[in-house]
Amino acid sequence: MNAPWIVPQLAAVTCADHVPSPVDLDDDGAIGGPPLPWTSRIVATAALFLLLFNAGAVRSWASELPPGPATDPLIAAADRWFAATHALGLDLPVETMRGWWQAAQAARLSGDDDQR
Amino acid sequence: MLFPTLSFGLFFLAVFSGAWLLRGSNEWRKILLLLASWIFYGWWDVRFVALLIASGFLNWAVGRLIGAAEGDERKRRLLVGLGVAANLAILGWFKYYGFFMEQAEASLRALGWGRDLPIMQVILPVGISFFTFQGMSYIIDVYRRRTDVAGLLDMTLLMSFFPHLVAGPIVRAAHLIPQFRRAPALSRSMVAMALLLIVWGLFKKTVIASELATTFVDPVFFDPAAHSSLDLLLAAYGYAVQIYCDFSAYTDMAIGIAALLGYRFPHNFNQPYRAASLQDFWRRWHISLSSWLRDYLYIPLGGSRHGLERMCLALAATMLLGGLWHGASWTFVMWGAIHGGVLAAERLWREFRPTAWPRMPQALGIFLTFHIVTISWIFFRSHGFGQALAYFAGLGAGSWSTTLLTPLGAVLIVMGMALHFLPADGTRRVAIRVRAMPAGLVGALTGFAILIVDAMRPEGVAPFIYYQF
Repeated sequence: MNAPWIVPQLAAVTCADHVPSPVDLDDDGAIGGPPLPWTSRIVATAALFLLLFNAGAVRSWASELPPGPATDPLIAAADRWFAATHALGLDLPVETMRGWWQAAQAARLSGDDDQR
Repeated sequence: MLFPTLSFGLFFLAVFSGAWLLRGSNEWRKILLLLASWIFYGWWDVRFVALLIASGFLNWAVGRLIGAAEGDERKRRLLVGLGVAANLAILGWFKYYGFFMEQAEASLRALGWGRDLPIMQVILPVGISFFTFQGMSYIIDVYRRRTDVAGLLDMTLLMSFFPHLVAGPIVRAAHLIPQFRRAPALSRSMVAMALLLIVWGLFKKTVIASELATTFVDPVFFDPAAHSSLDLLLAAYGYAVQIYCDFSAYTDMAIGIAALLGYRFPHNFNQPYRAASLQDFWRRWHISLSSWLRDYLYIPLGGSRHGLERMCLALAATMLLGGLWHGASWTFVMWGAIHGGVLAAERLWREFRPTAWPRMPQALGIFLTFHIVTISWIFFRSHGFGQALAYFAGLGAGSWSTTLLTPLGAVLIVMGMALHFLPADGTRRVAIRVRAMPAGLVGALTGFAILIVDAMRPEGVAPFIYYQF
């Protein structure tokens, strides 16, 4: 069936179990060990990295929780964790990058201020 | 619960851990994923979880009845017709009831029979267009014997699976149910690609799309008459970049999240703004919808089997309905009409172009296609015809001296366009390197990339544009 706006290889998509997916790369059977422990370690490392260096995001998230007996300890813990990481300077990278980004946001084309 | 939020991150960590802890029992694993999907959907409005479950039951039951009626074609045809009608009734009630009642009231008034019709405000459930299309494709495929009858758990999970539930890609039963039936497996390649897609999607959504929307595109579209022609032109380009970065970001993250759970979703985007014709554009934009429209609308309407005239009519009708699928508004119909009309014109041109005439240079084709698509986006983005017409009037006013656009906004628009001209296999090449790295390094790099994105994101993240469809 000629469907004029569809890429030809998709004509075979309808019933095929093996539809091309962006996550298909060539075979990786020979690389490293079993993939699940490898993946779990990645997820854990990334979570720990963010917990250390982005405690401000955790505090912001916790502060938006509705106050109550279940959430109050969580909110307090997030505040304490942020204070601890801030004291160690761990929030410096994200704050520095945020400062650069805000400077870029504030930039205006020359003479633009007069026209506003 | 939006993908680029900490709430979703914590939810996903719990689902990821639970799903892989239960890998010994595929059935329990699927039950966990189903419950998690209902929690995910109920986060918006818990009432609609019942609708999602009912819709899953309906399509499972119709599929079973069609399967049981093997040998009785009349009964099978009746059942598939009833099943499609039931899905369309659900969609029609929630999405189009208000629109059609308003049109009916306006028509009656125009005829001098002014009546106050009982127009109710019906709340639109998030993602209803996606999951009803998914359900319809399942029962039609069972009828066409293109897929097996699915079990209740597989069918409800197909329709509810949280990565694709609210904004696609529209994953067919024939693609996902066989994956549900076997124990999922991870590979380093899948994981490497998944992580890249998630981080890349986060960047496109929270940095490019959000920044452009809040600082430039939304204010200009809100009041086109108050802005210069230059602003209107740049905001049209800005919206073209915003909607691509927003929707393709959702798709990238959905594919990545599903892959981390062991499932493969199909491609949905392929650098759409480098298309040299509108036909080519639809091979690259929202591929799962365009293939759905082809298989369940265009071909049943006759496709190319009954001559050129019928084919052009089928194309126009398909795109008009495709426009209406996006929303109950004449601006979406107009968007579909532009696409259908240009697709038909392209086909006629290919048929009747004098052979002695030179072919259009590819660069010119890309330029023209992008601008046709951008003009159609103005209708897509506008709240009503009046706003769209005001936008076009402003574009023609010829005031080119001032602009709200900041240097950062200009860089993001250029970046959003430049993404289309990078090597198409760039992410794959990076993923091949990543999969060979030690886990600690990949985890630290992933955390660092998310940290960079978080430093650039605005306070709060707007819902994805396609959530409203």
